Amino acid sequence: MLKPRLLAMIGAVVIPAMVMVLSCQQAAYYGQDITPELYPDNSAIVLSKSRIHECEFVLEREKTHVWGVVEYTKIEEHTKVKILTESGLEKFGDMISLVFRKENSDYEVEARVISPDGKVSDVGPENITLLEIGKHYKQYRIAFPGLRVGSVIEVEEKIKSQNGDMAGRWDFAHEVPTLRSELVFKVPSGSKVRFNYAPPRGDEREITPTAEGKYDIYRFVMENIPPFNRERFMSADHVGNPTLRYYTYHISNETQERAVGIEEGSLKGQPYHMTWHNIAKIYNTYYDHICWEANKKSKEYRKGKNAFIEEFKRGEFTDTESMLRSFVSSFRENYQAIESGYFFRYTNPEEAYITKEGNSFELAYIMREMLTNLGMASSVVLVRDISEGLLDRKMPALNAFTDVILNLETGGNEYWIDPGSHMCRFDQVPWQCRGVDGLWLLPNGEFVFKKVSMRDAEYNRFVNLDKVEITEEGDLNGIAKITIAGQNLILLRKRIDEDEEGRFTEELIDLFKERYPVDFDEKELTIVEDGDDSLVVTYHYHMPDFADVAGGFINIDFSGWIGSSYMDVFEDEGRLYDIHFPYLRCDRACVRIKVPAGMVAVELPKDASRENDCFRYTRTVDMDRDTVTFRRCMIIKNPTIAAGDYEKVKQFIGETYKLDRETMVLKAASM
Amino acid sequence: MKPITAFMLLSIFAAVWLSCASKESGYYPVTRALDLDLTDDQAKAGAVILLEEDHIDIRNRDLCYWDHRQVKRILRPRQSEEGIFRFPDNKDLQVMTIQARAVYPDGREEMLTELDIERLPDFGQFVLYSDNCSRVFDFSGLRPGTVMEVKVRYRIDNLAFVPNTNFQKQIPILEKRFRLEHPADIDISIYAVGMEREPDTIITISGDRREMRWDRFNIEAFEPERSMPPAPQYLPSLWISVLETHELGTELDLSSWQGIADWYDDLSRSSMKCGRGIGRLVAEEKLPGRSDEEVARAIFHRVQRDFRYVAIYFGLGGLKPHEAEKTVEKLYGDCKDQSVVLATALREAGIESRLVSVRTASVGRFENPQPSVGYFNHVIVRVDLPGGSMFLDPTCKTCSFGVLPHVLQGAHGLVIGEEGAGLIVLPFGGVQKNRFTTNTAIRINDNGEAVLCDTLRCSGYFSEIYRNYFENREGQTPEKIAKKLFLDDYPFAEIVKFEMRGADPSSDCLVMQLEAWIPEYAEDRQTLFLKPAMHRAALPEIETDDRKYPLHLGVLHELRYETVVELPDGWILDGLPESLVMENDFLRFAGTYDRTERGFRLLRMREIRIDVVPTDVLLDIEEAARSIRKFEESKVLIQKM
Repeated sequence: MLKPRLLAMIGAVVIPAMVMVLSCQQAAYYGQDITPELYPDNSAIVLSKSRIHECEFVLEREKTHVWGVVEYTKIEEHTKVKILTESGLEKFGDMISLVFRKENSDYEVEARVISPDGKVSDVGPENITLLEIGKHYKQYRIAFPGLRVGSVIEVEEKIKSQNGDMAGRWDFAHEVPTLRSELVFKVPSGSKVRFNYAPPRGDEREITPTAEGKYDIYRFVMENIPPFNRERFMSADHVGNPTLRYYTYHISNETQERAVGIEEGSLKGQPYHMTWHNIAKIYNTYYDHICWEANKKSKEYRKGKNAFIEEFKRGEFTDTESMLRSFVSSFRENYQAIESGYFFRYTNPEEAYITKEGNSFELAYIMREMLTNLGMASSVVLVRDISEGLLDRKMPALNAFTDVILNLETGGNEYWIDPGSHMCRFDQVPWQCRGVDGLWLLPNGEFVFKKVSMRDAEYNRFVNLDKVEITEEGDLNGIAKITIAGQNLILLRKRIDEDEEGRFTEELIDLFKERYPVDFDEKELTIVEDGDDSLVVTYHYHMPDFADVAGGFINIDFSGWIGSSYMDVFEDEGRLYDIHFPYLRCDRACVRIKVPAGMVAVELPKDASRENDCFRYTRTVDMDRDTVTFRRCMIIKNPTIAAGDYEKVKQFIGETYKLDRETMVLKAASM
Repeated sequence: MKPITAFMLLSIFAAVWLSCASKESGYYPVTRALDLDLTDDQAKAGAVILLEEDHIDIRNRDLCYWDHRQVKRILRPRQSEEGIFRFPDNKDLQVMTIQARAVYPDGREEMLTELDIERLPDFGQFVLYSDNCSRVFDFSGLRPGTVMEVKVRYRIDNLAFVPNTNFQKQIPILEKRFRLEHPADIDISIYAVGMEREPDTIITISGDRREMRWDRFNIEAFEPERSMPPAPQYLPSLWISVLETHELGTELDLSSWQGIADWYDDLSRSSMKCGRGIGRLVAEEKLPGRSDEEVARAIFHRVQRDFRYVAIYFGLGGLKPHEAEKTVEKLYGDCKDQSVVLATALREAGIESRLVSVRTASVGRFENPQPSVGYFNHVIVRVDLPGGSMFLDPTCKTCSFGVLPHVLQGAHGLVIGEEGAGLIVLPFGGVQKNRFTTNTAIRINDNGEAVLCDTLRCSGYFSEIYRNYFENREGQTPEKIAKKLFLDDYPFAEIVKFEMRGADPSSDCLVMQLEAWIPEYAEDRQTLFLKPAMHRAALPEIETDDRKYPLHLGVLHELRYETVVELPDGWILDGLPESLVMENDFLRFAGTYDRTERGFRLLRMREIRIDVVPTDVLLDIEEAARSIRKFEESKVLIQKM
């Protein structure tokens, strides 16, 4: 069987290439009147897309006298796209279906091309290829023949499976404009369904279905949807792309009685009444050490675990924190994290222990067990990576979470530990897990939602203190002391494999070269302090022709010393979606420049200080005898800028950008 | 205990012991793997290959086995990539057996055979449909001290597909052994890249068989350098060619390039038949009064515009083009399909044309390589017109007529269907020079704001590249793209007008007209230093320290930039930077400042004359590049009255 990692590799290739999946069947939408002139900046138009998603449970005879529940999901999708440019031919001319299992899925696909003169041609089987992917999976690929600019492609897909997929997500927008998009969700009558539009439509009322036989039918239609293209520094896709997420959270007793003959709200041991309470219960059960250690395979685990723990019990630690610090470090050396977005499906702490690698859930599980044995109780906190979109409290779902971290209080201090992140050191979690709601699993099987606090800007600082000297020719020699802290440091550690000897220094040099266009002797780079939360380095550098020298004047440009001006965030004319910075941060520079003796300032930037809801900026430039002191500080105070404030903040940033580019002109006092 | 029982028990013990012993003895001893001393450099790597053995055993003219063995030790945490293995498994390179074993530091052992390992289709970048497959598996939970060993046996029925062998990888190799065994009466040719071609040892086995051996030890990891020519040119490798006639769709003689050209000529001939579809295409483009060149141009642009790239590689599909008529019907095909349509249509129009097999420049150009089918990865067309021959690539959707895409310029090609066929080097630029010319007028007002009028002319591959930027601009206006491309240093600039002439590749060149307002152009100061250079001419910084490989300066081209700056009244030009003129074998640069009636003019010209700079002159080139960078940054001193 394919391992999840291999499947993910296949998916990584296949899924981004998927061209279309959805549509509707409106004869009026052939799009004869859609011309490139109407959409000069788009390569194609999605004329219509629709999905009919139907799920059902039936009781079927499996053997002569045994009855079993069979779940069915039927999904019919219909897509029509009109090609407007040659670039559209390349983008929409081929279709790659999802990868699906052979055993319990039936897949049918029909496709046709409507040429610009209205002639309809079926896409023959020679243009539709079935690819076998290993023993269990398959995929269809279509190359639309005879396609020209002005052609319409049409695809109808039908998937029938014995998986009870009672949830889904429908993206109404695409990278090109969409004229009509429709979702129909058919569920057994009496089922309870949750829907969530994003961005919110302010329509919180209960959506009423239409009854049709034994089904309840929910229908959603949007028309004339503008293209969705990601903007830089935005949060997850669904913030901008009109999206509907939906799922059935309760199957009616009538349906269960009809299909299964039971009245309890549970099928196959899994609750169909999906609530946060049930989800917490499921995760807590995973963590039930009695359950787990009763497993026959657990001997090896217990033996190894005990040995590992005994080492720390025997160790001589001055306090609890030093033991915890040592434990976390040792744990990370022994257990490696693998990325898996599916930990709610593929979780096996047994195997993770044996293979010494696991997803964040498995590692959190193992670490929590060990900490408990060391006498430190910890809480498991499930969080949703903020870059995947905020957790939707209205939509309880097992897959709502992407990361698992631990919280513990000991010795009067609170600690956060990310067991699966090798770039995080003790008491650090990545920015993606900060400032978001976390589901805390309590030892009594209950749960509570609490926010994982966000660290302040000063914690995530990038500070450079430089002392430099400029010659009469404009060459510069200097020494810099750089402090990289907090999330900046975590990102650096993510980028650099600290375990590779020598590589860390090389990468640091590259990093500084990106930041300063300088030459420096790498032998002069020294790591002064390599702490958990901050890294301090010093280096000597040399910049030939740093200052402009002409006519007895010297021009000093300070822009090489500043961090980001954030101008790149505001380069667009307007903004559709909120800007979201990953974390609060502070960029501070203090540079003392010794200029050739006898120079006086003729153009000196004035001190400047400005602030708004999101940023705080200060800049001063002083000259005292032969030394110029440049100080600059830029702080992100608030990670989110509403799209409506874009122009206002852009103006602010524009002003600071201009301030940052102000230069200083010196001339010889004798001139 | 009865003797018979004792005998049976002993027999069972012996069998079990023998089975265990043979199982273990077939593998590299783990203790040895862990005890091997590593040099300081080797120890820095994430993993090392302790042993790599390749044994190519040519049994006869129709059968060859290739045994590959690799033993790898993990040295550092988080080396999961080193645990992923992929081995091709196709008709031509058929996996017979795979054995794979991982021994973890805690003694746990994981074993895989071909029964456990899935055969998965290859998802190439361009290949939409293919029956190429690979055996893919991974060992997870790798940590320092894990030892993995993989053994694969291939069967090769067609000796045209005897594989090449690399002697260097991204991680160090402690021991690399390569053996080539073959009947003495089969003529073998060996081409070596970056290593000695001659074997270390030649052994004659039982009179009619020979074995050649190459053994290398302590091979350092291959570390690519920035701006180096394609890496395959520098990775030590041996290419094995069986100089026999092979059956590959038709007869293939690997003893000369002529043999390959003849083979491809035969293979593609049946696809190049003119039918109704091609006939109609030609009739629509061969209009009365059009010259041969005009007809060739029209047919080229028709194929370029109407056919999209779809690769179908079933059976011989990776080599043999589909029938031209079928491709015309479907309006899609890969490079060889589209080139076959183009060449067939040109011939039908009475214009001489040939297919040309090409090795794209990005995968390296080798010196006098030996003939092999796998040397080429692309097909284009040569058209012979009264004014001369030119090369056409119908898959390049933004190339002008007679201009090759930049990835083919300077690449190796083989003209098909000609006597005396041999490798040729495709021209730089084709019928046009690769040239980018700008004429920029900047008028500054009293507040330091500027009005910019810029005319940008592209020919050769510059047209291809800039058309591409504007062709693939989903949802973005041309003005936005232009601002990003040409005014990125001026975030407050506003495009007033942007026009393109020649955006369609049927034009010979692309001309863009840009007008913009730049509010922050000059600082509002009494004394100011103004940097007038727009459109970069500087070469990127060249790492010269400990550089092992030559520097690739890119496709030969020429840049010509003129900037005229008009100053407002009362702004006095206090000093102009000095001119810089330099010339060597590889590049030429001239940058000059002149005063004008209202301000000054800056002229810059940069020409790349040779694309690859050998390491022994790198310091000179970096010195030149440094001077150019300094000139580019130079500023003009202005005083306001």
